Amino acid sequence: MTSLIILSPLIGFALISLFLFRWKKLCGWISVGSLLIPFVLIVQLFMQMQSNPSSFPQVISVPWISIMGLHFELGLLFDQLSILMGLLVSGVGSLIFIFSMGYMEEDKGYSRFFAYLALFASAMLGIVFSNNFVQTFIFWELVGLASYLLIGFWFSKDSAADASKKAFLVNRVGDFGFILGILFLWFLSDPTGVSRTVDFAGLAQSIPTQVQLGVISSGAILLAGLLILCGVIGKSAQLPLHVWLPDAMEGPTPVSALIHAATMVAAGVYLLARTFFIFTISEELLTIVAIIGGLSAITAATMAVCQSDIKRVLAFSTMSQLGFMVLAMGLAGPVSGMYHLLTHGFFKALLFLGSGCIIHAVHTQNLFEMGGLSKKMPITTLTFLIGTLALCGLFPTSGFFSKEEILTLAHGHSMLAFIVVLGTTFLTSFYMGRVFSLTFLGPQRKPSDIHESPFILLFPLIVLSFFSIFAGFFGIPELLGRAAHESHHGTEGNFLALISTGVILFGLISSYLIYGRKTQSQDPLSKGLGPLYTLFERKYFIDEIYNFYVSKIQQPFARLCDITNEWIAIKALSHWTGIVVYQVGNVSRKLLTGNVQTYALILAVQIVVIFTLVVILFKL
Amino acid sequence: MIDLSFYFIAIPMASLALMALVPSSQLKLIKTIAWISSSACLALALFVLLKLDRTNTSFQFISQLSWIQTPEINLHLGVDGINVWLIVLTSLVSFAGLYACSSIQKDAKGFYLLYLLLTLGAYGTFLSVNLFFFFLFLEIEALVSYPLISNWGRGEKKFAAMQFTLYAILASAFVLVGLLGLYFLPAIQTMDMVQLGAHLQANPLSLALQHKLFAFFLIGFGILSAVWPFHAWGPIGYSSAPTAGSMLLAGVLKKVGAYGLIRFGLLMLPDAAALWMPWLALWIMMNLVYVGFIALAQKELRNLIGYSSSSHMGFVIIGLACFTSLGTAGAMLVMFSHGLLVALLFLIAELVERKMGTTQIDALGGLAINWPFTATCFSLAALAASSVPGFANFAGELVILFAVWNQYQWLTIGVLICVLLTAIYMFRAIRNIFFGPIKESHQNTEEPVKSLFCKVPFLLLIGFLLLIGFCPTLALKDFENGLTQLKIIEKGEELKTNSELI
Repeated sequence: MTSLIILSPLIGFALISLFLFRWKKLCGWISVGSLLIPFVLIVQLFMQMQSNPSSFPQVISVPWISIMGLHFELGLLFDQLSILMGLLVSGVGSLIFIFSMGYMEEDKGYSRFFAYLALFASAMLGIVFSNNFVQTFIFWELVGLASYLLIGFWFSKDSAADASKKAFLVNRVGDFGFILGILFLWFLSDPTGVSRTVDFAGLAQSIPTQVQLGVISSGAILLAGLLILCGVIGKSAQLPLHVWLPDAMEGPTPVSALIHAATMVAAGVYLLARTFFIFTISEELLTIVAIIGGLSAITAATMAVCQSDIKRVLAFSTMSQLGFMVLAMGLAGPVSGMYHLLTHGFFKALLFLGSGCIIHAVHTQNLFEMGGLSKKMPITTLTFLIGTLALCGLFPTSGFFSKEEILTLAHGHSMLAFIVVLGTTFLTSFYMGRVFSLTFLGPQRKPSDIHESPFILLFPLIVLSFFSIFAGFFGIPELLGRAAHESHHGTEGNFLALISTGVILFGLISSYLIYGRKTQSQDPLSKGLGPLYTLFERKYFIDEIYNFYVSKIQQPFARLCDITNEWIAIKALSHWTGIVVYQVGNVSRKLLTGNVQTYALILAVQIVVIFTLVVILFKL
Repeated sequence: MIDLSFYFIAIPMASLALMALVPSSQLKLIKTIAWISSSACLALALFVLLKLDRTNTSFQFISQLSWIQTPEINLHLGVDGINVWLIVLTSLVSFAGLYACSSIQKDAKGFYLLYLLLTLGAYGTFLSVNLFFFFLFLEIEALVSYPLISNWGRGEKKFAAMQFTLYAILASAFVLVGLLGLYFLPAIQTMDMVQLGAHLQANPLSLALQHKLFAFFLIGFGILSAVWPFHAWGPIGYSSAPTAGSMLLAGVLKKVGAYGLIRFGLLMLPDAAALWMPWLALWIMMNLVYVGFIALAQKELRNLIGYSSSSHMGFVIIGLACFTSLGTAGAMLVMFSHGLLVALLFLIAELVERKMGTTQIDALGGLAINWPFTATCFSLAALAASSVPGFANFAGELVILFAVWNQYQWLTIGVLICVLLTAIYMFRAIRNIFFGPIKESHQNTEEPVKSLFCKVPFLLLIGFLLLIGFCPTLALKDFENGLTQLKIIEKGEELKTNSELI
C-alpha cells in the first residue's frame, strides 16, 4: 500500500502520456489526484509515528538488481526525516498542482505539463523515501530529467531550450562526482569485499566502525564525502555549479515554485541530512561544506540585489537560502538545516506562486515595468507580503525561527560565519523590500487593465501563507528528532534575535526609501554601486567563464580529436589500404568480369593470408 | 534433430527461396514476404525467450543436422543465456529495419533478398554451436554488406562498401586463424563449442599458445566491434549504408564482435584473457574518451550516431575487460540496449532525411512542434543513450561501473567522462534538431509517423528499452545463467580477491 507513494504519480504520468492526453481537464485532475494519494498516505504515516514512535523507522523494499554479489534494492524508508520531507513535497506539491490548473489553463501543452509534473512528483518522492544510495541516484537523475522537461516546456523558445539543456548538463557534472562517491563508499563499506552495501542503514553502521578500526583513513572519508558533495552542489545550485538555476526560470512559474524553490533544489540539502553520518566523521569535510554554503549564501544575495527580473531575484534568493541550509549542515546542525528547508519550502513556494499571479496579471517579469499593484490585487499583495517577511525572517513568521537557529549556530561557531549570515540577512531583506516596493507600491508604471487572480490561484496562496506564518510554532525541530531541552532559545538567543531583527528592519526600510517612494525606470543602485553593480548583475561573470571553457577549450579539443582521428584512423589506416585494394579491384575487374569474381579474388587472397599465418603459428 | 532454434535459419531461408521465385515487379508481394519472415522470427524469438528453461544452464532448443563427419561440420544451433537476448535483439532490429526499407525503389527485390540474408547471417552467428558454421555465418554478414552498401547506399557508397568489406574480411581472417587454432591445438579435435569448452576447461592450452590465439581473436573481434583505431569502417559505413543496413550493422553486427570475444576469448582462453584484460581496459578507456570527443565534434546526425555507437561499444568492452561475470553480464546488457537504441536513432535519422532532405544538424531545428511523435522517440533514444535511469542502458552501465570499480578502481573515471560526453552531444542534438524555433522553410513539414502501424517498430524498441530498464534482472539472470555454465569466472577473481562475486 505504501508503495503507492511513489507509484501513484508514476501511474498518473503513464496514464496521461499514453492514453488520456486528449482530455485536458481530466489530465489535470488525474495529476492532482495522483499526488493527493501519497499526501494522504504520508499524513497517515505521520499520525502513526506520533502515536507510536517506537515502531519507526520502518523499511520496506524489493530487490531490483541482485546478481553476482551486487545487490540493489528499491525501498521505502520511513523515519522522522523522510516523513516530514514527504509531507512538504506532497503537501506543497499538491497546492502547486492545483495552482497550475488555473495558471496553465490556456496553454496548448496542458496535458503534457501535468504528465511531467506527475513524473516529477514520483521521482522526488522516490528520493525522499529512498533507503539506499543507488535508488537515490536513480531518482536523482529522474528528478533532473523531469526538471529538464519542465524548464524546456516551451521548447520552441530558444532561451527555454538552452536553459533546459544547461540545467541537465550542469547537474550531470555534479552527478559525475556523486556516482563516483557512491562507488567509493560502496567499496569502503567493506574493503575486504565480503558484504558491501549501498544501504544508508548498512553504511551508517559500517563506515564509522571501519574508521574506528583504522581500516579506512580519514583522507578516504574526506574524498568520499567531497564526491557526494559534488552531487549536492549540482542539485542545490551551490557555487560553482549554480549557473543553471537562474536560467531555469524559463520554465512556467509553477515549475519554478515547485521544483526550483521548494522541493528539488532542496534534495541536495536533504541528501546531506540523510548521509550526515559520513560528514560528521571528518572535521575538514564539514568545514568545506560550511564554506561552500556560506559563500553561496552571500554571493547569491549580492546577485539578487541587482536583478530586474522578478523570478531571477527569487531564484538567487533560493540559492542564497539553500546556502544557509548547507552552511547549517556544515556547522554540524542538520536539524537546523532541515528546519530551514521546511519553512523555506512554504514561503518560497508562496513567493513564486505570488509572482506567478503578478506575471499572469501584468504580462511582464521586469520589476521596473510593474508598480502600484497593491490596490488592484489586495490578496496577492497581502500573501506576498507575508512571504517577504517570512523570507527576511521577521518575528513571528516561520522564517524567523529557522533562521534564528542558523544564526545561533553560526554565532557559536565563528565570527566569520556569523557575519556572513547577518550580512546575507541584510541583503535578503534589502532585495525583498526592493521587489515588494517596485511591484506593489508607488504608481502603476505600465497602464493596463489589471485584475485580482481567480480563486483557484489564490487558494494555494492562502494556505501557504498560513503555513509561512505559523510553521514556526509546530515544533518542527522536535519532530525532526531533537530533544526539547536542546533548544537554543536562552538569553543569548534573545540577544541574537534582537540584532537580526534590527538588521532586517534596516534592510527593509532602506530599500523602501530607495525604491518605494519615487517612480524608478532605472535602478538607482546602478549609479551608486558603479562597477560592482555590473559585477553583481552579470553574476560575477561565471557564466562567461563556462562559455569560454565550452567554446574555446572543449569544442576545439573535440575538433582536434576529430582531425587526428581523421588522419590516423581514416586516412592513414584505411584510406590508403582502401585505395590500394580498390585499384587492385579495378584492375582485376577488367580481368575478371562481374562482382562475384571480385569476391573470389578477395577470398583467395584471404586464404593465402590465413595459411601463411597458420603456418607461422604452428612453427612457433 | 530439429528444434525451435532451427527455424531462425529456416524461416529466412524459405522466405529467400520464395522471394527469389517472385518476379521483381511484384513489389508488394516481396515486401509482404519480408514482413512475414521478420514477424515470424520476432514471434519465435519472443517465444524462445519465454520458454527458455532458466534452471538449465546448457544450450537448449538444440538443432543438429550432420553434414560432414570428419572434421565434424554439423549445423548445430542452440540457445542459452548468453545468446538468447542477442537473438531477441536481432529479431527486433531486423523487424524495425524493414520499416526503413520502404523508401527503397531501385531494384527492391535484390535489396530485400540481401536484407534477409544479412538477418540470416546474424541469427546464424549468434546461434551456432559449431565453429565452422559460426565462421560461415560471420562471412555471410561480411560479404552481404558489400552489395547492400554499394548498390543501395548514399554518398561515397562504393568506397564505403569496399572499406567496410575489407575491414570485415580482415577481421574474419584473424578470427579464422583463431578458430583454426582452437580446432587443431587442443588434444581433441572438435568443432563443437560445448565439447571444446569442456575440454579446454579441464586441459587448458599452454599459456604461450593461449596468448597467440587470444591476440588473433582480440584483433579480429576488436575490428568487428569497431575498437579504435579499427573503427574507421563504422561511421563511414553507417552514413553510406541504406538505413536498414546501418541499423543491422550498428545494432547487431557490431555486437557479434563482443559476442565472439565472450564465447572464444573469455570462455576458452581464460588464462591469456586474464593477462590481456588490464591492458585492454586501459586501451578502451582511451577509446571511450577519445571517440566520445570525436562525436562531440560531429555536425551531421548519422556521423554523430556512428561515433557515439563506436564510443559506446567501449562500455561493452570495458565490461568484458573486468573479466568477472559481473562485468560481462553488464556488458551483455549494454549490448542489448545499445543495439536497440542505435537502431532507433538511425531509423529517425532516416525519417529526418526523407522529410527534410538533410541530416546536417545546423540546417534543422524546431522540428518537435510539427513532429511530436518522432521528437519524443528521438528524445527517448537520446535519453537512453545518455544513461538516464528507466532505460536498459542505465542498468547495464550501472552494473559495469560497479564491476569496473571492483577491478580497476579509478579507471572508472574514464567511463564516467564518456557518460558525460554522451549527455552533452545527445542533448545538444535534441536541442538543435527538435527544439528552438522552427525554420521558416520547414514550417509546413508533417509528422512522418502517423498511423499506428508505422508506430509499431518505434514502440517495440522503446518498450523493450523500458522493460529491461525497469526490470534489468530479467536479462541479467539469463546472463548469469549462461556465464555459470562456462565457468570463466575464477581467473577473474584471481585478479583481485573479490570473494563475493563468485
